[in-house]
Formats: sequence, C-alpha cells, structure tokens
Amino acid sequence: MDIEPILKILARWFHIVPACLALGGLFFIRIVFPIAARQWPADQREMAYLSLRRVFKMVVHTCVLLLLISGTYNTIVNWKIYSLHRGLMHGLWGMHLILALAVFAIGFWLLAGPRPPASHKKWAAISLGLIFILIALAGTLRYARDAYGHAG
Amino acid sequence: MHLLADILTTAPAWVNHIIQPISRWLHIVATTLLVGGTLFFELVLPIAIADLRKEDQLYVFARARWVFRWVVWISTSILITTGILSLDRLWQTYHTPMVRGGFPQSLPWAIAHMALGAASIVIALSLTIGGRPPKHPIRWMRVNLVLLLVAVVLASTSRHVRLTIYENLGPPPYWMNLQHHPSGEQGHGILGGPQARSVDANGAIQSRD
Repeated sequence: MDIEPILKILARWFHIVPACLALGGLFFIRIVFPIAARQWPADQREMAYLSLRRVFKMVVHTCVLLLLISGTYNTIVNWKIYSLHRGLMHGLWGMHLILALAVFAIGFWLLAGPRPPASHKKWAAISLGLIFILIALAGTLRYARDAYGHAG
Repeated sequence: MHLLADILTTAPAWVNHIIQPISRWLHIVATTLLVGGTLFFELVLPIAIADLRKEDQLYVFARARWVFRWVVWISTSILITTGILSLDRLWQTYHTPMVRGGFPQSLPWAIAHMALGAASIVIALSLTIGGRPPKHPIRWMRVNLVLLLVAVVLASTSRHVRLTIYENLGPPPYWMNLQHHPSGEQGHGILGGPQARSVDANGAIQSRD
C-alpha cells in the first residue's frame, strides 16, 4: 500500500488543526474572554486570565511543534512545484515562513514567565493581524500551486 | 446550471486570481475561529476557571457563550457562502473518473465533508441560539469538536483525490484559463502538460501525445 497519500493528508491535517487551535485560542483569549469578563472585579478577571494563559501556553507550544513538523514535510513535498515559478511561489512561501516565525517569536515572548508583559494586549492584537495575513499568503500559495502545478 | 464555474471559465484570469484566494481565505479563517473557539470553550476555559466559585464559573460561561454566538453566526454564514462557491467551482472535477491505483472519485469525500460540516454547524447554532444552552452543552461541544476535526480530514482527502486526478488527467477547463504565466509561458503539471493524459474505459492512463 502506498503510504504517501496518507502522509500528505495527515500532514495537511496536522498543519490546519494546530493553526485552528492557535488562532481560535488567541481570538478567544484576546476578544471573547475580555468581553465575557468585563463586569468582573479586576483581581478576579486577572486571576482567570492568568489561568487561561497558563493552559493556552501548553496549547501554543504543542501547536508550534506540530506546525513546524508538518510545515517542513509540506515544503519538501511541494518544493518541485515551488521551483517551477520561483518569483511568485518562493515569494509567497518565504513571506508565509517569515511571518510564521515572527508570530511564534511574539507568542513565546508573550507567554514566557508567570505574568505577561505590560504591552501584551497590543502584541496579541498584532499577532492576530499577522496570522490573518499568514493564512491569506498560505491560501494564495496553494492557489498558485494548484494553478501552475498539481501536487499535494 | 453551474453558473459560477461558467463565469470563472470565461472571466479574465485576474478575476479568478482575486476571488478564489479570498474565498479560500474566508473559508479557512471561519474554520479556524469555529474549531479553535470551540476547543478553547470546551477544553481550555473550564480548566482555567476551575478555581472560581460555581456561580462565577456559570457567569463566565454564560457571557462567553453570548460573545461566542456572534463568532458562530458569522463563521457559519461565511462557511456556507464560500463552501457553495467552492462546490460550484469544483463540481465538474468531483465527477471525473478516478485513474487506476488511486482513491475513488472525489465526490464521496466532498459529500462527507459537507455532511459533517453541516451537522457541526447545526450543533453549534443549537448551542448558541436562545437564552439558555441545551442540556449537556459540554458533551455536545465535544461531539462537535470531533465532527469538525473529521470534516477537516475529509476536506484534505477530497483535495488530495482531486489533485491526483489533475496530475493524471490534466486540470479542468477553468484551470486552463488560469494557466498563463506572466511570462506568457503555459503552466504545466508535474506529470506532464495540461490535458496531456486521459483514461480509457478500464481506468488506465492514456497519453494524448
């Protein structure tokens, strides 16, 4: 039995699902939770936020590991096609990678230590924006891959 | 019948180059918010507020549900709209006979993806509509999370089958319309030029060269 199709599908799944968890979690912790806890006393809100952050840290670290592994595999599989139209596809792939590394770095910095840095709200919002751009780049890269060559 | 596919076949390439990536982007962003939000709501939030008093926990859940309702509604609208666009665009490829040695047609995987996606949307809406959540909301959220994760696998599988078909048969007509490199060079698949191969009645690959 040819295992390559299964690997390709699993690699896609392990790329999409961690991205979902990271983005969905960030959206929840940055947008949904502050609105939900708006009417709480500040100390209680802070305590709940720190608990959320502690759990989210474990989610993010796992997601980053899975994204790196599946992303490396996807790149190896698709590299032939990326080389067909270097200008376009290396540009999209490179930007996707650079933004992803930037988001990882911001995420690690925001989640390091027992308490977040003072400007964590601003940086979380910036990360959210970067992730939206990141997904747009990934979608465009996939569209270009489908249009110019057809691989996993 | 397939209005969008017809429009995309005749539209200038730049229209496709804008509409299709945006449609995909919206579909993926809506999915991430729904899947990630559900997971966070169901797994992370209860752990994070476990130390609070019972009434405070219920208050947070109720408020979070009230806010998350908007995420669900907006994501659902986007997923249905962009899903219909993709379905219409890809319909003809779902019926292409599969080449020997590969998966069967792409259609069953796509239908399974749509069915699970629709089921999870119905569950998500039923959990967020109304003043009070239904009985056993956490259990339903867990079911929904599993459905969403399986739906993502099915979407990946459907895409893989479709691309395997492209590699062997060449792309469908609307892709041909897109395959003009800025340099004027014609695009090509890794297994040969577009429409370079076909299948016979037995499913064997035939070269058209």
